Amino acid sequence: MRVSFSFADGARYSVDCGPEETVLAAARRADVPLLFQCESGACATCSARLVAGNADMLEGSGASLLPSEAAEGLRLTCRCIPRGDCEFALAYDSVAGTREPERYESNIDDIEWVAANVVRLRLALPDDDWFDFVPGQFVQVRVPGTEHWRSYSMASGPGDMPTLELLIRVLDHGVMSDYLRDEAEAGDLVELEGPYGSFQLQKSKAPHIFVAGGTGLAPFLSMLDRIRTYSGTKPELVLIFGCADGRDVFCVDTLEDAAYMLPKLRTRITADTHADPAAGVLAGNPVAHLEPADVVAPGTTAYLCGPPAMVDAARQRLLELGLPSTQIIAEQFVATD
Amino acid sequence: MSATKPDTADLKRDRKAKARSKKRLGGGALEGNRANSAREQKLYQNYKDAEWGFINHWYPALFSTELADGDAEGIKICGIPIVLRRAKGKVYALKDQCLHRGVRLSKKPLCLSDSTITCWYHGYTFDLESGELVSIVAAPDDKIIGTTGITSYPVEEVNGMIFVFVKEDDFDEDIPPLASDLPIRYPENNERFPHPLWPDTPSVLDDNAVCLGIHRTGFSNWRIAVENGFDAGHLLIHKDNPITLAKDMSLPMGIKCTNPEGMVPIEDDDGPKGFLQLFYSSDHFVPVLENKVLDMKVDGVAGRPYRTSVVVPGVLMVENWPEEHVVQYEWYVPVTDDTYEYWEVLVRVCPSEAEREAFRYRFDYLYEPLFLEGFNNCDLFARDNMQDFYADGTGWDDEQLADMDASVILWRKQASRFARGIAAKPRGVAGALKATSQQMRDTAAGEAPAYRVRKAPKIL
Repeated sequence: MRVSFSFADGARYSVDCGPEETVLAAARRADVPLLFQCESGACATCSARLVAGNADMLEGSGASLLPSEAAEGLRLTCRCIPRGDCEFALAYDSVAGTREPERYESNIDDIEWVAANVVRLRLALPDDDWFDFVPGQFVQVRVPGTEHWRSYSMASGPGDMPTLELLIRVLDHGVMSDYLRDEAEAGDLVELEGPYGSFQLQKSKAPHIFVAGGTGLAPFLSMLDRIRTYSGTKPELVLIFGCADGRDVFCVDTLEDAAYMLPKLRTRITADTHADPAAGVLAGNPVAHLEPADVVAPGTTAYLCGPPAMVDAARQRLLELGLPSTQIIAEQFVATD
Repeated sequence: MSATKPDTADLKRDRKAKARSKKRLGGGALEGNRANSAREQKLYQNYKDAEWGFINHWYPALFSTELADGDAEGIKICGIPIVLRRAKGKVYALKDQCLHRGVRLSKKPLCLSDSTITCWYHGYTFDLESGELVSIVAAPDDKIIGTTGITSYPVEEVNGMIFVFVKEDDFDEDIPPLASDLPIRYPENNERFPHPLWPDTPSVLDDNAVCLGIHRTGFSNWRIAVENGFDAGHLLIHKDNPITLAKDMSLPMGIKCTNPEGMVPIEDDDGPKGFLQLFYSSDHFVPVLENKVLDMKVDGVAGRPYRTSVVVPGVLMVENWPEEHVVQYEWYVPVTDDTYEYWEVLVRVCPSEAEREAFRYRFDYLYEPLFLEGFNNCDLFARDNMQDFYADGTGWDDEQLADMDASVILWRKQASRFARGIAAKPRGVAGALKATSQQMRDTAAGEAPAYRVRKAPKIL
């Protein structure tokens, strides 16, 4: 069977795939620069869009590919078996996968409680040992003093290196949560591995829509920081940021600053409970605040990041509003204790 | 909307303070009451990154009189070498770096036709309009011909000034009009900014405008120079200037902004971006006439109703200065990251020949020697003396600005929001590397780094 890949920058590859071989395994054998991370269907880094032919997901592939995403042609290549010749499209450039993730050491620079249950963690890497990344990507963080690793999207821009910021939801119980609440101190050594992830900002002058749920805001703060440096006319931007509880809305000052720096950015903050429209927090979930006018311009791209239910609902709503499914790029996360 | 802190908030705050004091840039003991707080600094990060200037903007390149028909001259803006050539009256601008081996075309200009310029070394020949490689003197059949070229830059020549749109090689948008990179114009803004005595401030673009001025190289980063142009606290350097005394100007010691609305942002769609200071408005500014601590006093301030504005990419307009119905424009054009071309241009609308002559006479015998040089030499001196503090970049983090610098901070933020791009550090260009043997040789020979290319002697 012949499997073809086309990347966002136009690069194309074609490989032979054995029976019962996964698409990712075949691609890796032939050095096709596919991004991947967990290789078990959990992280969705390796997702690709099936644009021709048939390919099935293996049974028990985990929850990271939503049924709605599968229906739109998305597949996790690490758990996907071709049924005949087929072709996949990747939402990122072919050079993105040539940057191998590596291990780095960092120190905690600042621990800021930006909400009752959210920490903004600033990490400093050595001046001579840091990494570049594309806004939207994530790192794996080893919880100090344990063997546990957790994944977080960068909330700062590549230009802020060798400093990087993460937004971390603090749960009642959990290894990272317990560490942050009880032990973390400035100066602590934190091991990182990255960068990972195929959820990446694509350079474009067409409008961008960002839909964030909770700490799903992080990759968008990174993307906004990059867009701030774009030459020429900047794209129209809509950012919708939803929190469960209006009293726990965070990073409002950061978003105000972003809107000042980017005059074409419009921000809508929403909350399921305790909304406060007078203070700028609209009632309802972020998806309810997507407007038909947001998707009118040709080439508009929507980026979604948040819990699976939000990502799913936002995708459905954007499709209803007429945005082509190829213009929707999503990253969902699952809270890990 | 503020977050509810967890029970351990106090502990966390302690740790936060500890972490802050470790911060590499700013922070810690520096934070205090300075006007350029860490958060403010983030709002003008693009400006902090623009060591080599803002690109994709219009800049003045030469006065018309500096480029005779048939001539070619080399200059450098935002680190980009540019050759200007006038052929049959029309001015063209190309990247002044041969794509073959990188020499500057302007060093020994070779113009074999009205539509081309040829590199004096191996004969690569470029179309003036498009920059395309159209021939090679010694290899007219080479297959590289017609497949490559050098960047060409849009040019506008108006009322005695040549402007070039300095752009990135891959800039693919429509070229914005020159007016979008020049100060606001009158009379269309008379209602918005009414002037009590002298409305209709002239513009470079006005019919019958006469632009007279000088330009010379300053040895500091261009941003230091722009900020000196309008900062409200710098009148001290002009206090003892001969023209200040001769004209009985009695300048105040400073101008204190009592209402931030006196600094009016200018950000109309498709228009210039920056702000205007309503210095003459007593509702917004008061002159500082006395300093009791230092026992200083100014008597009888003349209270001239003048005002200043600055727009991206760094164009100052001082209205009714040096005298009424004349306007002083200044540009601080980035040449490298540590040199800029300081342009001082006086504009007056002169519909008749007699008025032109009178303006020229006053320029030659008063404005140029006593204002553009006499008065503004103090500014040039001050800027050069700030360079060491800012040269390695740390000055932008460490400076401790005060309330009187509010206009400086507003300018930085407006520039960060609206500039069309940050110029990258150039490659293969003089000035990108410091203290090269050639620079030292030339400087020892009396030729300091300069804006214009010094041409080769005739016999070489």
